[in-house]
Amino acid sequence: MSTKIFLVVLLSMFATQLSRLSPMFISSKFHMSESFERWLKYIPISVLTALIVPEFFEQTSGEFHINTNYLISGIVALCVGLWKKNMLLTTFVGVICLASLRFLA
Amino acid sequence: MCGKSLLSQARTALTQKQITPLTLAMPIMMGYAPIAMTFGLLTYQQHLGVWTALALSTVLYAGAAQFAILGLLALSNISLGQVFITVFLINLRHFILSLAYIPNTKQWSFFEKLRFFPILTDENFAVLLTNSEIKKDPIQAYRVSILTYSTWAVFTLIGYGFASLIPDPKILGLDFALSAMFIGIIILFIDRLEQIITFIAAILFMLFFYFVLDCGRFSVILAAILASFVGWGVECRRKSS
Repeated sequence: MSTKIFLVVLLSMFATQLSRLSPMFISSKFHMSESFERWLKYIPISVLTALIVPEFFEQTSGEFHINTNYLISGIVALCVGLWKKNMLLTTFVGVICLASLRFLA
Repeated sequence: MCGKSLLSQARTALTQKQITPLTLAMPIMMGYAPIAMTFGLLTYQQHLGVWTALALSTVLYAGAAQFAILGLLALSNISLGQVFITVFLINLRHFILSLAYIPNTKQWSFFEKLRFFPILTDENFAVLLTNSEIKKDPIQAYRVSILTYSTWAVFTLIGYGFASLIPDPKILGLDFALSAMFIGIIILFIDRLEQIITFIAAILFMLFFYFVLDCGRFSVILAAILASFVGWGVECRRKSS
């Protein structure tokens, strides 16, 4: 491992731990207000939703198109999820659905 | 651990009887394995050493940022400042994830927090919050994280070592595992009107920031913060009326 790569690894560790660790230190210094905690309760659902939105699109020559296979698998996963309320089952069905769509295509 | 008990744990997970750290970690491990292998493979193809692959996967441990680093290392003249800013911006969302997790760790010791938060990922965060007991248990929650962390490291090495033998993960549809898991988790979180509104708001904000304003990875943080304000605002209005 060259010195350059060593420095890259070290710096990227600082850059990511700054985000991961600082809330732990900040929260011990300040008291979280009740309304702030209520706002935080909406973070999981909004972060997860925001993270998956781009997954359903693909970029070809600068333009975005809907990835049909992903969209269909996503809708199937959504239906299974709503029906069974089981995360693991939803994951399996989504994966199998995408694999089958690719196999059939 | 023998194969039989793993299998029976899988079965109980699918029928939702008893939830253990392994059953929580399993969908993440399924999704991480092909991504980590791809990372190992790409590191190998870029003629970087195996230690570089392992160091990035264990010290940095952040999917998208690791791929971005590989992209930067491929360029001939990169500045270290550029590395820092790229990783910082991609991983800034961890700040709000960790912050949102803090209320569950009120009973934890300093050491328990110090070993948990450095390896918190989007996926661990999401999965842990689905289980009201495990998320508050410092040992069980750490087990979920360490299982996915090891999977990431081990499969980085497998990807690096067996670069030429690995089948395309797309054949198995595993590239969709994490998205499908997130869909499954989002559904578990939705039980009130405010959350449905937050969900729709997050989609709209994301489409706006990502596709209209072209904010890239930064869109996630902007959309998440604003959508949470929408949910929180609706909750406040409904309480006061």
